[in-house]
Amino acid sequence: MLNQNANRQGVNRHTRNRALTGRVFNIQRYSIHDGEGIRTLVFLKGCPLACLWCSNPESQKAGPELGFIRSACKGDDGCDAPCVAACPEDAITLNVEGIPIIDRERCTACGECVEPCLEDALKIVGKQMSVAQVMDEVEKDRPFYRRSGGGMTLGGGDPLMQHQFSRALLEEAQDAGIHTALETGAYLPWDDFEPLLHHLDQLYVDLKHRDDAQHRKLTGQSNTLILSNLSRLLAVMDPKDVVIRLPLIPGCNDSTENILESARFVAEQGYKQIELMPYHTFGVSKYPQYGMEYPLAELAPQSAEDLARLRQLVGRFGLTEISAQA
Amino acid sequence: MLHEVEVNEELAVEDRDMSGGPSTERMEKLRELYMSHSHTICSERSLLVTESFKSTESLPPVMRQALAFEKVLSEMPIWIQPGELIVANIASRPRGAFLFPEYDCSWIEPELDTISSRPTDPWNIAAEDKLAIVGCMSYWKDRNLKSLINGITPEVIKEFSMVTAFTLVDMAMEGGIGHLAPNIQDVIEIGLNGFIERAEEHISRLDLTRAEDRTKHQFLQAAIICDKAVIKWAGRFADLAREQAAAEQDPQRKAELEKIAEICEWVPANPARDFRDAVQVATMVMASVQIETNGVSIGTGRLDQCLLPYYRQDIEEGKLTVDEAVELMECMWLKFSESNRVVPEYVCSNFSGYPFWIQMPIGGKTPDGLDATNELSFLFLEVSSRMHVAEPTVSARVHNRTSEKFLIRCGEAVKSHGGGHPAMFNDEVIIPSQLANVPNMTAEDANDYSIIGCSEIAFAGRGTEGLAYQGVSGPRMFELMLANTNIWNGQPLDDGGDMLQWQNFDDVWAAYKVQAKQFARFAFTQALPLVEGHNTYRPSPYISSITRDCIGRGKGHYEGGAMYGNATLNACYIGIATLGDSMMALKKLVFDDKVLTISQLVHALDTNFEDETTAPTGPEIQSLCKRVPKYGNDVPEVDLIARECLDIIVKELRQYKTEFGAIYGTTVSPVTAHVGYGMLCGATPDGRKAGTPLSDSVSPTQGADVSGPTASAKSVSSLAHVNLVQGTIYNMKMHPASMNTKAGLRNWANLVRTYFDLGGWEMQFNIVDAETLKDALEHPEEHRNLVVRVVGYSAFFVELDRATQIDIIARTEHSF
Repeated sequence: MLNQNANRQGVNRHTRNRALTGRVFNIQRYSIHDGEGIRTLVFLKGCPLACLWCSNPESQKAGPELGFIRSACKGDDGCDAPCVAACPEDAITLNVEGIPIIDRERCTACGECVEPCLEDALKIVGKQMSVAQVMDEVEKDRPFYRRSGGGMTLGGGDPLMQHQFSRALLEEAQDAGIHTALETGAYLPWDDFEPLLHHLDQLYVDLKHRDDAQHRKLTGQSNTLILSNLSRLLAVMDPKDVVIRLPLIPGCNDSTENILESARFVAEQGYKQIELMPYHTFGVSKYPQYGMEYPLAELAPQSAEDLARLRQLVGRFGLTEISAQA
Repeated sequence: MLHEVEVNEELAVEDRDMSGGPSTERMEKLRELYMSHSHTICSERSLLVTESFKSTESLPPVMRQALAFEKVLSEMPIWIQPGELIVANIASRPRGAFLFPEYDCSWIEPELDTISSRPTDPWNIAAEDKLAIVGCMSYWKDRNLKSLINGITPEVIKEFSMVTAFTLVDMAMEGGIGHLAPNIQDVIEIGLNGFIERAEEHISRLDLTRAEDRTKHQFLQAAIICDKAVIKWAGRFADLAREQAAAEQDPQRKAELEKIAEICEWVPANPARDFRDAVQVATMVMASVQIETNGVSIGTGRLDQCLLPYYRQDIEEGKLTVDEAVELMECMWLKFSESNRVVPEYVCSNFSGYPFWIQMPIGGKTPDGLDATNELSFLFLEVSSRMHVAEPTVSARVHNRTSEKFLIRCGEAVKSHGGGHPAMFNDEVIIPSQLANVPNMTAEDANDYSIIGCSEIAFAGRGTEGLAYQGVSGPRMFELMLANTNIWNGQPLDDGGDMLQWQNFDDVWAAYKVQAKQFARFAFTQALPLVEGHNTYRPSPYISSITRDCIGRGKGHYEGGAMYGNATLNACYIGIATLGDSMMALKKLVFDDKVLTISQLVHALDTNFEDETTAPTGPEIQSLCKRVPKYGNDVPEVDLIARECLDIIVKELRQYKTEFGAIYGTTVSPVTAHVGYGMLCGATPDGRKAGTPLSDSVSPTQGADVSGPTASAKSVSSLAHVNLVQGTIYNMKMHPASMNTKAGLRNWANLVRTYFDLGGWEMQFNIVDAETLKDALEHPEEHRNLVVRVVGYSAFFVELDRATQIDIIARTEHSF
């Protein structure tokens, strides 16, 4: 009897989980830098932070957005701008070259303009999907997980913005025997964050700056909640399953002082693994697609010598440096 | 210092450094010398073979072939270059090639004036060579194989094959059939004298009052002439080496030359005594087979298996160091890479980059099913990486017991080579496919398969895939289906062929099946005269003489002498993704969503999506077509349609057998022919414009696989590879960054393993980025060393034609 009840509860939870929906902006298969083996990376939309160097600008807002790929648009050259006619909000006008200008205030990201464009220059990012739909995608690479020890990784944005959805995804993956990982900035009250950890095999947490004032300046939020979460994480997770990541932004957070302080903090909490993430500008070209401007001036990525020096600093605290992308 | 040297000596074979170019200064120089030679046509053989044939008109064809072979080997120029340790040559100068006017002379005279300036695969030729060759042509005008085959080909085939542009078979007449792996192992073990003794013994038992035995007698006599001619040819190298030694001042080189002479006096006549003898035998067998018929796709067989006892014995006895073994293997490698064939211009547009398809399988299973990977498998990987020439191509056989170490080592080689070596082959699918499809196949021989050509299977010294290149264009067949055309007579087909009568997609399948039935019968009928012509007019007594069990049966290789004729005919199905995507578009747009009528769709195809006067307009219809889900994205609906398209034609083709019991096998590995066939094919419902390339082998349509490599691999693995007998080629382009770390290599290995778990046949990788290739288009001189594998063969990128180069760049780059 007791058993039956337990079973029924399990089934109920399963049914409830699978019906939950969330906003997903990409599902990327064969991701190999986001945890063990060959993984499917589920990008969830929305982020509580707004880091100046963000390489996924389309991930920041919680809702769907219209993206415009300038290089695909033909403009006046053989196109009579069906996008303008299709827009119910009159949010699209043309410039002198026949290139659409999107009024972001008016645009509701309804997507009416996407289909008519023959060049596929317009797209909606941020699809509402159920857990069941996401899991169907994740299941597709199971034969590859089996061989490689890979699985599902949640990323973003920040998956904690949709923590109930994230928790349901992790629970479902775990029940299905799929290895789970999460990439996050850990900006969420502990009581909401903690339940997710029980369904995780691997966790990656970013630490953007050790100093609170600087953290506010760079991300728009205080780091108090993040540091507090970092001090509690190891009560639930094994240190071998956690990697603390320091994104290295030239002139912003890659000073010797900050790296030393950050590494000291990380080591003091009992963490064993740290990853230094060199700066890159792959995301810059995405900003104009969403009517945004890249907030940082042109920065030169760290040189190999700089990186070696910073790695050495980190090594002083007995931390293992994981360089997934080297 | 001493300590470091010791460490180096103890380095396990599988941990040796693979990078840094040729292993010694000698090899560095020899490779440089090789690269400095340009492709050149040599005239000597044309004269010799013409003279011989003129003097043998009254003899049976098999004897004429043997005598011509003997004459060429006795009189052709031979050479030994400074520093060479292993000798043999297939033409009068390094990187040269002879012409084979007895096969197809129709193109030679018209093209000789332009062949050195043609855009694709040009050949230099000296004025006096040109004159000499042209002088021979009048003799061959009505006596060359192409004319002879033409004489026995039914009119109906001739009329429609070009009109329908569905198969092109001329290439099968431009030289010997090839497509085999010669019996290097037995020549190493018993020497050619062993074969001669056997043949003599069989002759002594013949009853010459019987017609059958008299035919056998001719064959066996011809076989003996050929084997003796090769021994004599080796003797010429011995003489030349002695001559050079006598004049040599440098005592070290003098000793080397004397050693060469001593070896060539012993092998290939007698059994090899050590590793170096065996390497010399392998080199001479490969070269002499080329001199006989110049067949393409002649592989080396499993040299990591048959050289192994000699290698181990010499290492154990202290006669040989690993470094010395590597150097000898490198010498052999360069010799193999010199083999080539001159082909007419239209062939180059289908197969560009001077391809010759010399495959060398490594690893895999032993005949009794255990792991056969050994020290030489690792060393051949190293030699391939170090020599970095377009051919031979190493192919790694992988099975469930293949070690992680070997697979990772292959990954490192793939990455450092950049050009797709080694290609990875799946024992767990290939072995069952041979057992299921090849008559009388034993488990031991199936386990011992060799790879030849692109993806095809042969059994070294035991059987042949045989006549390979008969391309069958799937998308062209689809076009004829829409046009309701019977390939046999150009008339409408009455069984449900009229598209206006199609009520649902099942009716389309029914029409496809009717077309497939007609096409298979047509293709088989077209292929038979080719086999018959080769057998009757241009038998190959030399390759037959060393093939098991031709001597025992007294028959040539292609007429039932070989143990296995596993697929004497082989049709290559071209454009499977284009076809699958087109069927899917037809289903979705016309029958499921009903957004277009079939007439609207066909009109858009006929007008190449350019008619602006219709509603929707041509470009709008093309856009609709492009948005239909595509094969290569792990969308089961379209993947299964592609599977069905292939399976139907494979089953039709498989019904046919030759009178010798050889089956009609199928492959999907068109090399670059999808470009040439694309030029002959109109617009297709997948959104492809007329004249543009078809999809490449089993790979998704160029750029259509946007869901990453795992999705692509799953789609491709959903085809029934195991039914194909001669296999498939799956190209995947990899960004080097994805293989930089140990974890990256492990993921690569697991990608391969999983594709194989799912039933894939073969997988190969181009480790290059599009930017490099684009730069190579602009500055070819700076990228001469860039080797790119294009469906089953490897070539210098700058030597490919423009269309192929652009096609390579267009393929989706999987970067991470």
